[in-house]
Amino acid sequence: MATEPGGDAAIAVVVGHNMAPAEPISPTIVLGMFARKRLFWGDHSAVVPVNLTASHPLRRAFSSLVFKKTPEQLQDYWNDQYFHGVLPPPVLASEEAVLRFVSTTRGAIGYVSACSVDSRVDIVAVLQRSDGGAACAH
Amino acid sequence: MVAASAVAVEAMFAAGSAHAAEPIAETPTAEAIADAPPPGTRLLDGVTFAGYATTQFLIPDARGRAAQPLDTTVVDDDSQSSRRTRLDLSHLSGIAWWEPSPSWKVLGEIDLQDIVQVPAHSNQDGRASEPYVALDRLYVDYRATDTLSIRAGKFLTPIGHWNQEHSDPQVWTVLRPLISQSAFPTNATGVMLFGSLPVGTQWIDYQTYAADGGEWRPSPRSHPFESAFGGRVSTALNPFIQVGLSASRFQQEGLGSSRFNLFGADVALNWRGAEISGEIIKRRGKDANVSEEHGWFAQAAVPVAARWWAVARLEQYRRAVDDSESSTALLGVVYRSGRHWVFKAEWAQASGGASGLPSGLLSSLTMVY
Repeated sequence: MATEPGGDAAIAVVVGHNMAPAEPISPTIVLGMFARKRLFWGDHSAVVPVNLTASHPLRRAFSSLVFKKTPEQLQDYWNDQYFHGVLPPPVLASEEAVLRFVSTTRGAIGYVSACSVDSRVDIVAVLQRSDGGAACAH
Repeated sequence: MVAASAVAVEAMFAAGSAHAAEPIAETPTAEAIADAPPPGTRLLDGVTFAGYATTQFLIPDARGRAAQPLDTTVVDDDSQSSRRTRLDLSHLSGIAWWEPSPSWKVLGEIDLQDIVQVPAHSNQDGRASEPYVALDRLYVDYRATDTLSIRAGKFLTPIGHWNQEHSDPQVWTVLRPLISQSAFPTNATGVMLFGSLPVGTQWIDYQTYAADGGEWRPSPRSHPFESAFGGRVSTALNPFIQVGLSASRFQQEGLGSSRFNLFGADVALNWRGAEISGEIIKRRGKDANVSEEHGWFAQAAVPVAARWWAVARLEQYRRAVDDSESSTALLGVVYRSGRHWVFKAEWAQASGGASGLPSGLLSSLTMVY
């Protein structure tokens, strides 16, 4: 793994094992990828970001840590981008779905609770939650 | 990307990976959050179609000055300048983009304007509405790297924030500020280099462009660039404040040999659903007396109830075409209904020496699709 997973309360930004460059990236680059400003990995393969649904606690924590805004507060940005032909990242409903998707999709990047990480994925960034977010159930 | 992702999920089944035996419960779908933009319509593989339609209902201020012919160099949308009450299907816009690969993108936007007026012949000079098909944008992007993309074709001139985000669903008012359209051609046909750079914890977006005449389907109400060279940089100072700087040097067709230098700045503060924004612009030519235009606007949009905002704007502008100073004050409300509908109603009051500036009640209903 490129990065250590951090504590249970941390958010791990993950890519599929051997599906994307497992190089550590900064929160600013994570922001760029999920804002669709950074479209390529270092090897020029396409970045395919995937979000959790807006009501998911981890999505809200991720949005707060990376964008300093709630998903709702980001909609003005996405409404502007829409008219330039740029759509927000698609969404999945669960962390397991994210793990399955990134582990099988070249260039995909998503995020899960650090304690949900398994051998299917590599961690490229760790975001420490300041809200003491819920630890994994398992 | 959505399609690419879905394809990837389907490919997973075919690949027979370690997890392929387990059915995938979910595939990525478009953001379903309230107020998210609609996902557009997929026409063909990689082609997305979107757009909006706007109907305006206008009751001009009868106490205002009598209608005067408005120099058509002033604004693109002179239908708002008529002193006649009317209902106007003013915009039917279609935007389509095609991304055959992550490196290439083709985008076009056509705007059918002034389609129907009721009553007929309610334009400023009694003319019937004249439907017009405007080519707003048609360009090809090649993304060489994340920090350098090349655009060729017709695009919105990157001067100020409003001009590039001017479509009806994006703005808070029916009436467009003069400074976003009077001092420069709103479109350019040429080449643009643009990209985004990470700096500290934020990203800086830049655009630099050049045009050498030959505007594609120029609006009959405009003086397109004869030549132009300029640039714009914008960034977030923090999560809530965006700033931008623009500069351009250009000549316009039909305006003699005057070469203009233009500088502009814009700022927007977004906080808890409210937006405070402003732009300032100054244009000078070699003969400052006849070519100088300058002005500013400040605008606030504040949420007052669920999905309702109150809007206020003050604009001052000095324009060259009739050597006038003018100001416009505006108060209004906006209702945004989830993804698809935007209703606006506002009272605008123009004062000063400029002729033909809209005053009165302006309202619109826009549907995004």
